[in-house]
Amino acid sequence: MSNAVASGWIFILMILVTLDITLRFIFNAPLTGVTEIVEISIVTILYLQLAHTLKVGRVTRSDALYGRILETWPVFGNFLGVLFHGAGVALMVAIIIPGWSNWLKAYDRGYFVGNTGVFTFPEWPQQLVLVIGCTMLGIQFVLSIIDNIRGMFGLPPLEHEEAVDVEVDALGEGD
Amino acid sequence: MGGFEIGVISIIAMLLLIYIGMHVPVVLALISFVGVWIIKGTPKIAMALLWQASAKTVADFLFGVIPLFVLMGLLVSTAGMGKDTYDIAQNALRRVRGGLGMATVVANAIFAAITGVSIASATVFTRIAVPEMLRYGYKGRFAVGTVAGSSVLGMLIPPSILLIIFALIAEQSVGDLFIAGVGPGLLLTLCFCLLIAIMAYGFPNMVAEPGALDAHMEQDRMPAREFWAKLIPILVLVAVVLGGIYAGLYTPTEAGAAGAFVAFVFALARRRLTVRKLWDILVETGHITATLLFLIIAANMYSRMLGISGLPTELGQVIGGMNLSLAQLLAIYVIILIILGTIIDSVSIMLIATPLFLILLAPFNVDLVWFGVVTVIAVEIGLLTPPLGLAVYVIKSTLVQKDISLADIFIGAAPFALTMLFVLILVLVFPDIATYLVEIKDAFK
Repeated sequence: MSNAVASGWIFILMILVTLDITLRFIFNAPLTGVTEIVEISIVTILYLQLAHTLKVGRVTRSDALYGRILETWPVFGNFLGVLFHGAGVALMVAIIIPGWSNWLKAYDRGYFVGNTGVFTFPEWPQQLVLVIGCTMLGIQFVLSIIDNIRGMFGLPPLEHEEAVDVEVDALGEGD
Repeated sequence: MGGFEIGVISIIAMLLLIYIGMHVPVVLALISFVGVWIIKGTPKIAMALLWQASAKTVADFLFGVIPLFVLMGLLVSTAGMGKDTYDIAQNALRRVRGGLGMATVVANAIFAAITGVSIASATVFTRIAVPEMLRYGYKGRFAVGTVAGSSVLGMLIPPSILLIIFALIAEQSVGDLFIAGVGPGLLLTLCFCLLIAIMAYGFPNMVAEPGALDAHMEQDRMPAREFWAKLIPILVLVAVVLGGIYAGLYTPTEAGAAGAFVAFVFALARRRLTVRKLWDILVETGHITATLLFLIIAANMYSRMLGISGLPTELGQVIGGMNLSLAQLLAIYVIILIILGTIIDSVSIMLIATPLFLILLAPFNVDLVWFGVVTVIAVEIGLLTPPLGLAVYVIKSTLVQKDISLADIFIGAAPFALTMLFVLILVLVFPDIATYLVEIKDAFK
């Protein structure tokens, strides 16, 4: 779901910035607040997309050696997986703890981004999105741990989703 | 245990963890967290640091370049412009011996000017150029090697995601780096073509089956109408994106948006875009963006930790004491990058190694724009070297011809990797190759 919001958001971002340039050049009337909106958007897109990116296995890793370990000694490989993903969970908790109090603070004190009188936007929504995004990523790490434990007992993963392979149609041959 | 020891141990632990397969951003965040905890004696500051980096690093207008240029690259591929560039280059070089190989190189160079991701180039040209070369009797090893070698042009010729990321971490102008990439990019294109010519004339058996080398010379010239129909969209995109940045009309972020929009219109006009496909492209853009930004944030945590540990300063003193010359320091840097490149992906390498060397190089007053170009070339050599050349793996997974093995691609790419090393040395010895155009631009101001 959040993945869908983030993806749609990128498209809106493209339209918005293009509109801003067009208006600036042709009508000499730029949109106000585009800079701030882009800044907020980047954080939002990132945190809404992160859990899904991990789920489809797109977070950067060097998996040549790990793949071989997993094949040769599946139990040990999955045990390593538990440690790897466990570190992920711990880090998410470490970010969420200050993240929670910081978003509340931004909300209570009415922090904002932008310039008074030109364009302002409250700061708390993006800080809340950070907390939500990190929570979802943490949950995704927990799910990966469950899969690793199932793997240690030779069970298949809970559910499987592959990344959409856009490049397959890189030629643009159409369907 | 002092900050220095912790810094050194952290680097070793980091490389080890990355090598056995832990997610790179998790490794960087974990090492930073543990490092700061040990140095400061309390997890509280370490947690604050993680949050600070997560919330503040990418909340900047400049970071909008990443999703927008990625989106543009995917739209351009979907619009079929990769095939157009190859058709044009192939037809223009049809009377040249080894022309199909050179066409791959030239098409990559042109395609690089409208897309910023070299993985995109590798996939597109594996599908277009390899079958064409095989059809005319070129050797499989040569065909895939050429595609692998020339795909690295995508990261050197602007726009380029790697140049953008370097600009972000070294706090340099994206526009300047885009200009600096042009000279070395063209030089590399030229050297690749020369390499192919040397192979085609000197060692024809490495390139094609006996007698097959000249088979493609029989083709007719492409009709003018078709030629322009393929070329004009490419020129328009180059003008909108690079022209806009170079002329100072708008920022790189805005150029990315405009480029993506124009590519979107072309893809629509050619009826290559369904709602479903647009959606897939947007999701893919989201994944690539999240992957890159997550890495950048984690690397920011890591460089904050290094700052607290005092490692760069102390290392600077140690190296200062050794009286290393700039040349020696750069040689060490390049060797480290190439070695790392054999196991880690380009962006990660740059984010790990560059911040440290930026501090070490500070006393020498080097031109950081030039340094960025050197970094990108060195990192890209790693894409072609075993055991883990990323470009090579991408090609292998896209390849339809399953009889061409991973080893074949590495062997085929080896002459190209050596040529890159040659160009890298040229750029190191003659910095003007990269900086000349930037100086001209500055003179205009």
